[in-house]
Amino acid sequence: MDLVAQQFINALSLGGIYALLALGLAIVFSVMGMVNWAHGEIMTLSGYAMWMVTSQLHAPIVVTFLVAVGTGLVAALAMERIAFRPVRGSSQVTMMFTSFALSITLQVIFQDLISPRPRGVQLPAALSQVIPVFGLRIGIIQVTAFILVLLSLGLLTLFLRRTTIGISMRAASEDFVVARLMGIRADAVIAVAFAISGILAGVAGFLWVAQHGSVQPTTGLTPVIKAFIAAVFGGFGSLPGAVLGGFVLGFIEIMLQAWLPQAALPYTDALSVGIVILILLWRPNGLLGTVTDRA
Amino acid sequence: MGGRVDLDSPWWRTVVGSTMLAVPLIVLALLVELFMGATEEQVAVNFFISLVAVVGFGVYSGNSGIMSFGHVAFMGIGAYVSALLTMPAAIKATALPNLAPWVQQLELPFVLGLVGVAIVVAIVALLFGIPFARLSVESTSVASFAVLLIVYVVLVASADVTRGSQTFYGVPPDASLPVVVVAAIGAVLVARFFRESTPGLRLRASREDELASRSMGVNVPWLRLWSWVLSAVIAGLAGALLGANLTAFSPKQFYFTLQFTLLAMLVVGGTSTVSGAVGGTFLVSLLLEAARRIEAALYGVVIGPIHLQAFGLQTLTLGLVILVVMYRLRDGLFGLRELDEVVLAWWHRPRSTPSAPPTTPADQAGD
Repeated sequence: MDLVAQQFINALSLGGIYALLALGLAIVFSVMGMVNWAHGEIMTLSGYAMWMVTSQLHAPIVVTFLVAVGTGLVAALAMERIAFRPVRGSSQVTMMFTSFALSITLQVIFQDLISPRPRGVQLPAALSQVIPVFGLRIGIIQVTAFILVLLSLGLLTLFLRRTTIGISMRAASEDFVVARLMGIRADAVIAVAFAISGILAGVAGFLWVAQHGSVQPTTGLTPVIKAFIAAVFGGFGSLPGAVLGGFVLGFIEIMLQAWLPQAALPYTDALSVGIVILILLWRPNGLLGTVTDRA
Repeated sequence: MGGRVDLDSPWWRTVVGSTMLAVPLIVLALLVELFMGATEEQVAVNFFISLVAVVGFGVYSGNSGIMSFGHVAFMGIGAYVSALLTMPAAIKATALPNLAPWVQQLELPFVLGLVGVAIVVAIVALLFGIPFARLSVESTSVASFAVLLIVYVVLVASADVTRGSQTFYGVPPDASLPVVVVAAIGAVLVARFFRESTPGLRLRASREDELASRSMGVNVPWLRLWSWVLSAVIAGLAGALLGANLTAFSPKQFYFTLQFTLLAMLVVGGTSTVSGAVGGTFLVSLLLEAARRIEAALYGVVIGPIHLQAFGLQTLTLGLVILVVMYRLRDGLFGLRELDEVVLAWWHRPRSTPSAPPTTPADQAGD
């Protein structure tokens, strides 16, 4: 029973990171129709920012967190302005490839300007401690992750439901052309979508790097591929779907890690992604996707 | 039309179009063989293997309009399966002591190994393809990354069969220049014939407008599935050739870097034509070789306090080439028409009245 509860916390924390990333991808996709492969590099940039402020300035943890989130925000906005605006409105494939090229270019830049090897990020020892709660031993970092994820999701929901720009974004994701005809500014909506995805990637980057203790040029690669799969799994473009997909993938992964026999452990990633694909066979539009045919 | 040759039949278009691509390829191979050294020959062999792979990718992506980010996984399967089937039993005994005895005893000739590759890859592609065929266009692209991830994880984890992340060695060097040239021309022929055939035409129609083609009775998921399997098999054969050329490799070589490189080749030339795949592969191979030589030349050069280094110049070149093409030439260098279609249009251009609207091939056929 204890083991189940502890794995449950682990799954919530890992699934939460996937959910944040998948949500960022889905927001950009829903307003711009772009599959942003460079999303992982936002995460990596946040990680490098953390490395700089902790190793050079010995910044306190709160400052490190704010720097990571701020870096994500600035990086996402810069990407949109510099790299993605020229291809806005073109085909899916064009936008996908542009982000893809940006992603590999950034990886090479990290490798050449910083280092191909991992850079250690030292966070306060308090974060890696374990606290006993009702006889369970719960890692502080896992709890922090879960709280941050809940907080991000809550704030985002409020933003999308209560503010004018949030409502504009939901309108734009329903029908971008009609939303523009109603006087919603395309530039503003897209910039805000990227800003949100950058903030979420910054939070995810902070949690990921805090748990792994280091950052390298390819840090963003694996979590973002899984976030993509989570987004497809939830129903691509559906925001609640992305969150659900992220949590379900996190659960599948943690459960496999906990209960697979030792010999099968190296196959964990293949199995978790394979299970997701099998479920897609049953629901091709994803868990919360609706059957839509584009005219 | 009577007894005249029907210039618009898929067979004829395949023959004319493939010949126009095959002749320069053969000339290139002869020039390399006769006038150049071993290094250039190696570059040429790599080019022809990439060509097989890129043309294979195009069979699916070009006709269906769905980008796949997972086809290099099939190349990986191809390389390992071919190696396991053709390697000398003695080497297998030392390199892979835990291999099942019946695989260990196998020492098939290269061609039979390729047949084995085709069968295995077709089965794996079918397993992935069945769920994928029903997904939307964007979701399939994203989900195809799962293929790359799953196959990579399985190759690394199955250490008894693949030596895991360690180097797999002792593969017979069967990919000589003539072999890869024949393979490249074969791939072009198959890809071009599929493009011109009725299923290919229907699939291209679904690329332009999925709803309209479905309302005309085109079974889009079915066509996507079979073009996916065909293109995976061609990619698998390219992987077997690559394995036989490298003779020693590890799963890492069949992962992101190779996928990016080959996709760049496809995109630069234009995804929707076979000519584009050939032209793009040639151009990108040339650029990458130039980047490689610059990287090597700069290595260790010191100007004052600065140690020049250009690690990743090849990847950077790839990224920049894709960006330039996406910003400036969205349909790639060759656009939407095959080389022979361009030549035919030029041949039939209106000569007497230069201001007249250009005639279409359909008008010509009606004459």
